[in-house]
Amino acid sequence: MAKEKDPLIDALVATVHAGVEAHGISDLRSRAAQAPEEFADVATRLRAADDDEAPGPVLEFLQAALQARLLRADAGLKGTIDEVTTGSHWSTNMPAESFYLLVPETRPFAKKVKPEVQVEAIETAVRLGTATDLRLLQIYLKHLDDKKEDSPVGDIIAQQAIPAFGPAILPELWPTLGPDNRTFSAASKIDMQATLKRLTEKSPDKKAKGADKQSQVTKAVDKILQDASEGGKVGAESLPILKLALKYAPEPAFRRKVAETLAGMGKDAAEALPDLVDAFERTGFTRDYNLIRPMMVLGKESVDVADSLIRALEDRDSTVRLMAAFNVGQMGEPAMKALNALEDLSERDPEPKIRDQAAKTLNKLRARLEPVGMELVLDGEATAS
Amino acid sequence: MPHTPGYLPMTLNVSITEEMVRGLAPDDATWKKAEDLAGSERFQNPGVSADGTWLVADAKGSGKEPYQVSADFVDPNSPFLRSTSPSRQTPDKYALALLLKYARQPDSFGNREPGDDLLAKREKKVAADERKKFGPGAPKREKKSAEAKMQMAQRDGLDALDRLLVELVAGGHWFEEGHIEKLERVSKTMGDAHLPAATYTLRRLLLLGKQKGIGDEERTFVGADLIALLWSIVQRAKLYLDGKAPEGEPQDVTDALIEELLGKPYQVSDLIEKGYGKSDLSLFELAYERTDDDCRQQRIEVSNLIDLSSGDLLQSIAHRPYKGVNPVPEQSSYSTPVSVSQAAVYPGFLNRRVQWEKNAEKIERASPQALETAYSLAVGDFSAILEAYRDQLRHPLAPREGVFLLQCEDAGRIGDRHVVLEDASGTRIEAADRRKDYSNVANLMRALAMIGKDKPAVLVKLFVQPMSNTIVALPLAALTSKQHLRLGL
Repeated sequence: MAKEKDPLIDALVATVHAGVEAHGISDLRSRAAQAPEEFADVATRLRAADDDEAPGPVLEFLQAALQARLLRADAGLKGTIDEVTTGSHWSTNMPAESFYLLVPETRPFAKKVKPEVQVEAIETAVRLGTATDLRLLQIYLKHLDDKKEDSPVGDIIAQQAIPAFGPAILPELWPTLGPDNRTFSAASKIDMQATLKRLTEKSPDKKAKGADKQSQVTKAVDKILQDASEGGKVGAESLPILKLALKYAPEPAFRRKVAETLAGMGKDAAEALPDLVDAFERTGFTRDYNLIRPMMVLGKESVDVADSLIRALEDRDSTVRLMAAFNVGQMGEPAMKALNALEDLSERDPEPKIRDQAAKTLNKLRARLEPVGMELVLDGEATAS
Repeated sequence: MPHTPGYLPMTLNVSITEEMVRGLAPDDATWKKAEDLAGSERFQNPGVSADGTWLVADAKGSGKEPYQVSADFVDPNSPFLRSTSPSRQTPDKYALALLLKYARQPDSFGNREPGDDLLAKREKKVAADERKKFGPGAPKREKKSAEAKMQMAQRDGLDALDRLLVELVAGGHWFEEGHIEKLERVSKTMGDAHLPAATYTLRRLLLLGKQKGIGDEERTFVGADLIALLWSIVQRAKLYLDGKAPEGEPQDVTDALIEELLGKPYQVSDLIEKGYGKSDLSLFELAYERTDDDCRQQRIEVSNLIDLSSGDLLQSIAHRPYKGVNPVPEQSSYSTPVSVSQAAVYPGFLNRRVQWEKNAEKIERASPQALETAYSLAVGDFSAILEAYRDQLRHPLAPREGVFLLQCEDAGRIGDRHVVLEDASGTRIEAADRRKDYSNVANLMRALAMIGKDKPAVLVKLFVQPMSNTIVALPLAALTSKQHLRLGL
């Protein structure tokens, strides 16, 4: 902030700074000659003082002038006061004894509260509904920003304390939101859609490029998967970003990890099946047979999955053809569309193993079409041979 | 001094010649000045002690008060010359001039005994000389009371600080390493001498000198301000040590400053006995602060309380030294109203410190009425608040902070950088933070978003930003008749 102009005080301060012996007091003496009436006495004595005695009246003058300046201090600010956007809800109801366990000490040698004690304090506060104390928000945000990977306090804040504030806190999180940080963990717990939108939307100053978007999504999903591997659970709220990851993830290994995560989610991930099929179909020169299992887990009865596997029977990669030939046999009713393709495969595929598997699957499916002995079983008159 | 008829001047036990005096002068220039002074009318009440071992006089120099000049002839062969002039030479021109004046005009000297401080200094010097001469076998001296020892140490400490300030102003560059080391040494001496205000302020100066991330202009200015404050402390502490107080200073201010300057902590019972007691207080905590003060080397915990009857803003404070923080009990924080049957309200300025014995307090149940009452006690006239704050600032040694409960008509942002509080007449005070690592102002904005259209009362700590010389407000709490949000750590 700009310093208030006062030539007399400036001269006094400069004299004290540089020293009477080196700086001299001739400038100060001339300023003192024009000093206001209230300083007349000390100004006169200073002007009359020998240099060796000058520090005395300089000190006295300095004190008087600074005191007078202090009394001139004013308040206020011009301008129009913007209307405050209303709508938040806050409280400051955390008891002091818990509150100060979470406030960092400023003394360098202070005995710090152990992380496990802080974690326990936060867990208790979440249970009691006092974790959302307004005063702690800034402290929580600093913890989220902690770059250390091993920070149990940062983790509990991201997983529990910040989400307890609810959606109203999201705007506070956006400035530090990154795809692979704790802010992302906290924000995605509150509202994955909004977090994802924020993460992938164009930045205000430049258009987000495709590659940026890819890397953002990949990092974010990585963070979700990491959180899940540390005892968390990937919930339905993560589905949108996992779907995006299937689309953008450049690495087959990462795509497989996402696909397996979706499979692990079971029914919750059903919505992602078309994206999974799409990923299987468009992964490059050949299909990735590792995606077949997740597709089967989520879409055993899906016509789209069946169609995709039928197309895969013609893939360049023999393993893909083999896996497709086997898995189509594990499907329900939609697999019946594969009969012709399997027949063709069983006769013409250059690999004997594949021809063999195609024939086995073909027989399996035909057996379903011709349920010999079923009537007998139902009638109870004879046993199937 | 005009001599009365029949008057027989005392004579010094030693005869002094001009040559002898000239031999003591550090250089020709000083000798020349001493000669001029000896011939002038600058000496007042020159005198010789009855035992003929002291020359004492006051000398009019460039200070507000005359300098005290003396020559101690306890060792006739080696007189010890003292002067309170700011000159850094030893002996200085005033002390030399005193001897010279006696050598030339012994008759102009009357009878005058040295003050207690001079006698004490002689005693100390003699003892030191004996210790030097005889070692552990030096004769034992009469033991002094603890209080006398303390006073002696305080006088010595203040003299040392006085010399240090003169040295800093004469030599300049107080922030350089050599000076910082000296500041550190002297601050320890101040601490040993139980001069708390001098110790803390000196430590503030040396920490400012070491502080990183501060501009040169600000360091220079704030440093000069602290040096000026130290000078005020020295002057006032010396006065109090002499048992005096400035004319017109209210007794409660003197009592408060004596505690701060000369480190005489009060007990609750002492204060009540002195008339600083109050009965049947009904208090409500508006904010609680906990800060680490590196200058004081203390953790300071403050409960900001409003007296629900009078609207006075009081502070219950625990000073907990860094070394040994645990033995000093923590300052309690109160989430509900508290009734106190009898408390000591310390002498002082705007926000009096309040203290009570544990058995005098009763924690009441949470009541919306207490909040309503507190809210109704907020002051809506900011001009009056600013005037009261400036009144406090008029005293050079008063705290430069004041806590007030402001009834705001409006509050909010001006542009991106400023937040202001406004009263019904349009008077404004800008909200500002003091810490760099935490923003009470940001919390105020969040609170305002919650309070909405209700006019908030904001508990603030006013302080002056040194460079811009602007009074600003650190927000501590925001309240309406139904909501109460604390805003700081």
